[in-house]
Amino acid sequence: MTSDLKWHRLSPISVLFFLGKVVSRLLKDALPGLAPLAVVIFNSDDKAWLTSLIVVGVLGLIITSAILQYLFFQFQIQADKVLINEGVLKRNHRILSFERIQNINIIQPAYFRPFSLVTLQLETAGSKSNEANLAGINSNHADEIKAQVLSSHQEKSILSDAASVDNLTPNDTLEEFDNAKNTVDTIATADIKQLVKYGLTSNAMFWFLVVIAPLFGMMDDVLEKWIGEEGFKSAAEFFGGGVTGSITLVVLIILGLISSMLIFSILGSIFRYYRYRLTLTDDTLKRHSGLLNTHEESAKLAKIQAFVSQTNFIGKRLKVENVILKQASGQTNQQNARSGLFVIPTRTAQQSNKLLSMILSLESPLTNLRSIDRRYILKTWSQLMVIPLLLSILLAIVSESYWPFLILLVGLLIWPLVVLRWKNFGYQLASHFATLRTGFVGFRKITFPLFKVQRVEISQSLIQKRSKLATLKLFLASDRVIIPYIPYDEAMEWFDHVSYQIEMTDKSWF
Amino acid sequence: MEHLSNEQILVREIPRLNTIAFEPLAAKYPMLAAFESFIGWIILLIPATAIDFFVDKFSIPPTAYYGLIGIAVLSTLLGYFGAKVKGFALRERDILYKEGLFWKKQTGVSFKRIQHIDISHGPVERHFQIATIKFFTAGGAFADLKISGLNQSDAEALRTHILEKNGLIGNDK
Repeated sequence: MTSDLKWHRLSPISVLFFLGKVVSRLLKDALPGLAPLAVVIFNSDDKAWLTSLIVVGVLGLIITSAILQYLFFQFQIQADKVLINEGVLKRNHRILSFERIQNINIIQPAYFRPFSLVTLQLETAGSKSNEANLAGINSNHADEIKAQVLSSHQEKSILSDAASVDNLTPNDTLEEFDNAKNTVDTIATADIKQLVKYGLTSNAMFWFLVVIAPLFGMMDDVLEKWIGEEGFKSAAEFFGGGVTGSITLVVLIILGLISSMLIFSILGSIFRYYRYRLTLTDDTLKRHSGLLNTHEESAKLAKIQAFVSQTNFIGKRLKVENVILKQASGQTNQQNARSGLFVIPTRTAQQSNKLLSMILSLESPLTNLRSIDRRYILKTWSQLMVIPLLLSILLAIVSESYWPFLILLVGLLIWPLVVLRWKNFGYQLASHFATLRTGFVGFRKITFPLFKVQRVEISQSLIQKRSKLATLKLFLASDRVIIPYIPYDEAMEWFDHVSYQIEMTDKSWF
Repeated sequence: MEHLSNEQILVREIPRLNTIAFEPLAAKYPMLAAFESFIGWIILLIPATAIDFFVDKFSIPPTAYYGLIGIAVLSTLLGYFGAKVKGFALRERDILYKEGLFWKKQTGVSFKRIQHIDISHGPVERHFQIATIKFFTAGGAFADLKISGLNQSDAEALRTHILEKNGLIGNDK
């Protein structure tokens, strides 16, 4: 085991990485602040001179700051932990002990490739700030560190594995344990066709929307300035003019936006998951993918908290679903959840069941799902109708007429949607696992080992009490599983059974 | 499969939640909770009255005052009776908690899942030697269990007991 008590610096090429970091920080944090600057430039007499002065100043600042960050970044690998010193003005000393690490990622951005450098990311389950990001180390060195971290896990997990083999016969156990040693199984790959499907079914485009939503306000101004009312009018003229013309134009704009979002989503999927390969070695999952930047991520099977398979309405048509292996995230580390660390794109239902049995060692998927009580429909519908009701009452008072009550007709539209949601609800509890399916037009199915539950909660409203129903909540380190409107007695049984599983399992949840 | 009762587990006679007798919280706590929720609403009156007093053109209709006082009284009652129905139960391996006058809630955390424990008290709570204990789990903010209105000494005893059970004392992790 290498343990050199020396401080290392990253490769000088990593200045490029820090440049990127500074620029992206600047864009994220300082962009709104640049608006007044633009105004200053706009109103000044000598625009060209002032602009070049500011550009040179900002560029100089960015480059200096990147170089300083590179110079101040040092790391040291010890036998059981990584030490990192970074920060120019605000010094930051960080210690990451190997046993806390849940993911090891090796990423090779395009600009590192000629120098055979990589970025090594060591992620823990805790906060986002508590992770090591070594951008620009030799790829051999990265592999060495990775092996070191994984082997330190090994020593721990052999002990806990031995304690938890009670459901296998002794012979089985030994053989399986031996066979499992160092066999690399490719358990999933994805070709271009599958990646395109993933782009269509992953809802990444909605994330894209969320990201650009704040920009919409700005877009309004830009459109007004650039195109102006006249521009819009003449464009509407082109489609026949008048109301029909404007409507056609608006519809076309929306369609254009949606299709460009789809294209973005598909391209994103290809860039991220090109030559996707997921392998299982002993008890370590490894994912390899990427077009320009190659990513290699590793995680221990035991750290997987839940198995999620989900799809949207397109995926339902295409009969494919996407699998996500959820890891402990807490509330602080949503970043991980979004970047979809262990996504397995575009599986058929059978493939995803096979993965489920492989990854959570669940022999057969839970398919006898039970539905929740019908009263859920009425309750959800009434909740959704509160706002339309208040709105119509308010408008009726203001306008002194009964017409606003026509708003309540919206209820007729909502009702079938709520029924759809109710139909999609399905849950099942087995001896060691539970599963919950939710959805609307698509679905999301989560399956998890019961012993990984962190906390159980049963709640019951007055209405539920009258019909002996309750809502069960299971809190996992990665997810919240909420099963509404199930029989109260059954919820109690779940409570007892989950508590029992937590106490009787010797395996660590993490 | 008709019903998921799982006989195999039932015969092992696992401990049942519905046979648990919950312990009530500190005796002073219902009064304190009532007082706190009353003050919380009445404090709203202070800036409103001040504005009313100093700004000539502005006057608060008396109905607003009555309304606010009505709400304050109601929430005081809810605070009092809400605190009365709260209770906890310490079992060998986990801690259970129940609350809710109209929306009843029962929850449980195994000692094995508790990452750390916090005891806190506000100024009023401190005067009455009452504390709030919070159990942090890995499930994030939603998965933490908070019990307010314990006697200070009980809260501390609870913490020591659970940490000892977990073997966390003397361990810096």
